[in-house]
Amino acid sequence: MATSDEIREALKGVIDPELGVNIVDLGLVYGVDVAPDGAIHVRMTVTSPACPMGQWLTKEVEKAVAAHALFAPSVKVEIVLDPPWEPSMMSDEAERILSGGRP
Amino acid sequence: MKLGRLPFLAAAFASLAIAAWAGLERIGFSLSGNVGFAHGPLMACAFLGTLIGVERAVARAQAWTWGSPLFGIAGSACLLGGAGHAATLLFLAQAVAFLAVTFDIARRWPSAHAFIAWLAALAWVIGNLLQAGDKPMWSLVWWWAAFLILTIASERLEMSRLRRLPEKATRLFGGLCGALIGGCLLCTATMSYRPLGAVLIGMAIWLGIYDIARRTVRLDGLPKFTAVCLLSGYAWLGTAGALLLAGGARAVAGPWYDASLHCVFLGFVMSMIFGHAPIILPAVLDQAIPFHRGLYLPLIVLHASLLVRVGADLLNAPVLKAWAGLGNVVAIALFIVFAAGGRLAQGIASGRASSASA
Repeated sequence: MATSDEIREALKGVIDPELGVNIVDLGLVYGVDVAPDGAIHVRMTVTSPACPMGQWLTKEVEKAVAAHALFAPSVKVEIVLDPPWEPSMMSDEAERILSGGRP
Repeated sequence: MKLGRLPFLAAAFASLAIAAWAGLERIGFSLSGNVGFAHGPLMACAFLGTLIGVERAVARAQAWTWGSPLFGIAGSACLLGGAGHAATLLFLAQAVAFLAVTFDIARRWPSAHAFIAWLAALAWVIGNLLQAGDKPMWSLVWWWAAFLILTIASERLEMSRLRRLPEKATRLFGGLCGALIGGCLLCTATMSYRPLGAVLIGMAIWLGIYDIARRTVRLDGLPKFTAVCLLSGYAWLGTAGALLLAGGARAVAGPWYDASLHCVFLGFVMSMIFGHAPIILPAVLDQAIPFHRGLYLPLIVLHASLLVRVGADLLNAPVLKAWAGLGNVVAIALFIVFAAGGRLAQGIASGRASSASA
């Protein structure tokens, strides 16, 4: 059974198409829960609720999780908008690429 | 493939095709159809307005938000069917409905960029109010341009948060957006184009310095392509501003009008569309538009043909300008063909792979 850390690692394969940075490093993945029966629940957000990318991202995340956890009984990806995403949620790696490093 | 959305996008792209045909009619090609008059409203409202409306509706996933693009389609049908006044009322409804969508977004998730997106919608409403009041095109077209520029500006400001810009820089951009509205007011009320020109140059410089494209242009593949489209678009925005500064009141009609407006609508807006189609279309249509380097060719044709068009305008060479205009249309057609071609090739390749493994 896949662990939440393994799934989080797998989600680094989902890359924002404009930024070239993965969604984990962008700070979009709020939580990965694996239930005792193996059911997977990913809570994630988008940088802007006005952007139509949300549904596409959900599908990409579902595909990435399903590819990694072949025997999970269910995979649920939920977009949450609270708390709203903030740039401070980015990883140092993403900061390095996008803003030249933290001040 | 999200089938429900297909009619909206089909209508938007049909409007683009007819608007392009109308444009070619206007610059001197002998074409049948007599649709030249519809070029502006079809481009701004039926194509761009519908596309943007669809994007917001997909993002919000609430039935009422589809009202705006629906009005847009109805408007273009009336326009082409000869019911001009009904069309202007429907386009006005389209803009007002969109204003409600942006207001709703700004209310739920208040931010500087959400406010600017609402301001963009307001500019569109003002332009369409003038249109419904039968005001001349020169008095309203820069409001349409402001709608597009501010919509893009709000998205770029939102993305620029990733660069952790100083507060002052963000406030400066907000000020420029407000000044854009002021510039449009002056155009309509007093035929003064220089203030608007100065604002466009200011915005282009800000974007050229602070946009996240300055970072992503160093990457490869699609992020680089999108960034190249954005940065070259900013150069055209600045050029539009310079033309308005240089032309002054001459921008109300003729070659200065043509050059400055198409720097915005082709150089800036169409560049954005090229850069973002591979990103947004998968989200809206649930169909991947794989990036391939061939997409650079239509971008090059777009910029080269626009350069020739602006040169022809400044040199008062209408025949050269007409051929350049054809080049603009060819660039757009090439982009659609290359983008669809990439999707087709990907479909064939994955079909082969799955039959090989079967």
